[in-house]
Amino acid sequence: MLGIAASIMITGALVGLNAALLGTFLVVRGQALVTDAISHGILPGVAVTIAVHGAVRGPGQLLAAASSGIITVLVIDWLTANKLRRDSATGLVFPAFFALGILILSLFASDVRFSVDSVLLGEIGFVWVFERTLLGITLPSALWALLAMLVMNVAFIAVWFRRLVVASFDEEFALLTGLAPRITVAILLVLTSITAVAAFEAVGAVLFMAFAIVPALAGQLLFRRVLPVLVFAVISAALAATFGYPLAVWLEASIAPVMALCTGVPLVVALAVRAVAAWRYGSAAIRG
Amino acid sequence: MLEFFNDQTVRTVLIGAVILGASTGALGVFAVLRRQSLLGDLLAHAALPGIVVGYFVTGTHTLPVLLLGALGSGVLAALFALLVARVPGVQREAAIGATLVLSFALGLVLLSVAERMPGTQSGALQTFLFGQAAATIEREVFMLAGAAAVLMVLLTVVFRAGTSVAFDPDFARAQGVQVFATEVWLTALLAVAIVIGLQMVGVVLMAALVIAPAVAAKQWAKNVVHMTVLAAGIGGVSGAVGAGISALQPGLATGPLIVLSATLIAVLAIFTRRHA
Repeated sequence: MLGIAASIMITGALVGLNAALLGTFLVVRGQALVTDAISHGILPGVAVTIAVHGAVRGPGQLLAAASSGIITVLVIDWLTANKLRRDSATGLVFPAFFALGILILSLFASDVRFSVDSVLLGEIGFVWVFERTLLGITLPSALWALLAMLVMNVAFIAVWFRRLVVASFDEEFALLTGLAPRITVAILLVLTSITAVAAFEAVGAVLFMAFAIVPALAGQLLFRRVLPVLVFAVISAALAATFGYPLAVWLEASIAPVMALCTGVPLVVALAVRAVAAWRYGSAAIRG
Repeated sequence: MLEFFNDQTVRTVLIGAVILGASTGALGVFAVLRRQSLLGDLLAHAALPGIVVGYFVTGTHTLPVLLLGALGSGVLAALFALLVARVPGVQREAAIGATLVLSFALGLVLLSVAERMPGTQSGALQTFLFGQAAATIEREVFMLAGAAAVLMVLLTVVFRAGTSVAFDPDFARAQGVQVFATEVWLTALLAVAIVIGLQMVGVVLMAALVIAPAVAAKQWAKNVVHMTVLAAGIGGVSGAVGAGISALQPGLATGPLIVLSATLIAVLAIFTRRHA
């Protein structure tokens, strides 16, 4: 139904939209590296699912694969609460999950069309191969998964925007006023895991992190309030992915890494804006 | 089994893995004590573009080329991250994470372009990303041993000052320790250790090889000297176990196995720690 170029660009844009929506709240909470842990931590779940079913398809398999991302976060939290410092716990746990995933893939999934390289590069160039018809509309199945995640993520943020903001800036106040910050953040992390799995086929495990934190960081450089940061991050992530495709074709390079690299453009622009502002108005230049 | 260890190639690989594991393990101690795990992860990922450029320019991936390229781009990325983190309103985590993933993406883009060039062996990607201990040759083992010896001497020189800076920088300053110089020295040692280990476990998992043995040693150790010796031992054992298992069956990447061995020891240590 969609052309090849269109399905690649739309898939990329959806990865950007989803990742930036959730990533913005993780960045303003000072938890940017949770996306690092999750994007590596989903790999054992994804690897087992691929070894058993040949691919990650449908909500059940998506959830099953996402569970290892959630377990990664739980293990890091548990180690931090009981024994280790947060940075040591993070650095210890997620590489081990990632190593386990690579091992499972190379042992049990080697006869599947899947290669270990795709873990890092993604296979966005081939998303159009596997299509699925729902309600009479035929779209790449990765695109369906990302669309479903977009609906859920937008609904979550629209309904609980105030809770998310309060939980990010004043957890104590949120607790006292019954805004349930812990549950809000837990749902945010679960959605991030499922979204990372939905994005896996397109961009692999690691590059998801680029769309989640780089646009949000650029937005944070330019704006003070959460809503404009969110809007800026979402738009620039989607644009980076969309324009990344023609650039990758022109460079004859892997598509997903070029899309991820393009998220650096708004960051560099934002840094330049801040530098000019600091030079003209002094270092305390006010953000919008 | 005996035949296996008599095999010249396997023995070379094992010795190389032990040297690497032991030296990165020892150098990871200060990274863990100074809460620099993140910086290690950044340096490892950011090494990729430098390695690929070095590979582009010289057409080889010998150790000195890898070292120079990786150090160059690692230092650039670390400076960029520090610069971004200094902008008011930016959190350090976000600045480091963004720099890490952007330089990694740049490395992957360059690598995918480089792999298309005529005369490039395919599979270079896997080598750089997940390490290839099995490719270690005898000449490189001597280079590794030499580099490790130099690093250990440099670590010994900075050890006393490093310990006081890691635990109490203000007290160290009052004692007349050059705090800033010590910090730069320790960070430089960490960078070199990471770069040396890249060949063995690859950029994605390198940081874990620095952190896991030190975390394990910290649970059992009485003091920093004890911790350093233990971390070196644990790193060496992990290297040997990982490289040994991957030599048994073709297709098993060395990096993940070494990292999993080190992590298992760390988990064991956490559950049998001596201090509360």
